[in-house]
Amino acid sequence: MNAMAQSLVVPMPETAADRLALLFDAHYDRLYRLARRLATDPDAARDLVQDTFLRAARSLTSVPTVRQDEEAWLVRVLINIARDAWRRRDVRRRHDVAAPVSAAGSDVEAAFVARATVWRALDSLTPRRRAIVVMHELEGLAVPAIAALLGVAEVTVRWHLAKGRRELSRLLTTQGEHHGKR
Amino acid sequence: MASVDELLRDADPLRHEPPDEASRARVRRVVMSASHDSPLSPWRRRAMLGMSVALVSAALAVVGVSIWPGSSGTVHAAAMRFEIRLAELEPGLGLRELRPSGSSKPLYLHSDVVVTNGDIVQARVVAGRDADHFNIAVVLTPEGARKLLAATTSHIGRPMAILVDNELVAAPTVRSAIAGEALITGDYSRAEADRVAAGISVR
Repeated sequence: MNAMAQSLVVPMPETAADRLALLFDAHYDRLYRLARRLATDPDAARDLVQDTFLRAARSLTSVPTVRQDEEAWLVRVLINIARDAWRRRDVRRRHDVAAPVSAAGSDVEAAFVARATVWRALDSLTPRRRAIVVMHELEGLAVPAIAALLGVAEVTVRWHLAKGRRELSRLLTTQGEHHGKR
Repeated sequence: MASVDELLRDADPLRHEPPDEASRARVRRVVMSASHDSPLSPWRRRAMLGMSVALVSAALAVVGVSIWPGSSGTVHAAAMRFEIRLAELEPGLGLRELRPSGSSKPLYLHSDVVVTNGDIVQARVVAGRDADHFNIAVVLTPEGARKLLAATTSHIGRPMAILVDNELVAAPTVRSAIAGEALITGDYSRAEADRVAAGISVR
């Protein structure tokens, strides 16, 4: 049935509360996964998701009714909220977070520190670029799917991917040298 | 040194953090407390059974355009026959085989028409996913809603066919009993949506 197999008949909610509940239950997990990969810690990720749904609650009539479009709407709002927070952050602190976390004793701790260092390097990317890198590298989404989700041209996605990879590579190489000098 | 991709995958916090259901529930409570339990919109109140549905069809984005190609023609309002029929994925007695365009798998239609133009109070164009795309909201009469409810209640998990002028435009799977209203969604231009809505509205 190809595309037709995707057709669904689903109950439409009667009230704003029903609609919001359906929206939350259908998209929370997907949004949290993205938010967690855009945020430094789980609390920040939950705040991002919560703010996204609160914005949806305030303007429920502007949320599209088709599932894929709902998801795209929510993802774009989430990235915009992340971008606003990222801009508000002190520029100096934003660059500091890319600095290596202090070294630790055991192998387990060392592995944790290494992962945290890589993760914090992502903070220096703009949220949109970070989202594109995350969707491609960690969610396994292809360039056209990301372009459709974000409502941008495929060439823009490819450009952000290339720039993001280069920035991360430069940061992580620099940090590797830091570690090497210790 | 490992590649950036490998480093990212290894550092991915979702690999190391278990799902936190308590936090999810907490966020849900906060979000739901911001909601007003008001009706979604005034036109929904016209639904006679107090129950509304969305007929969600990703297929229409593709198929709809091939059936209603562009806005070059004038609006032939009375020309369109709108039908909803129950359908099956396997052949059976009295079922008519229909092969959707672009699909290798046929659909088998029941001979009874569940809903047709006469069961529709109103078909109108509503906003779509952005300023350039439109959907069509269809409000059924009480009789149309009753027939659709009766038909779909015993047909959950099986397909139904939506036909316009005898052409299959969508074959959604019934996920729950439906009555009242339907929303035909699918990236129509304003002119296409106007044309379809006008065609469906005329009895």
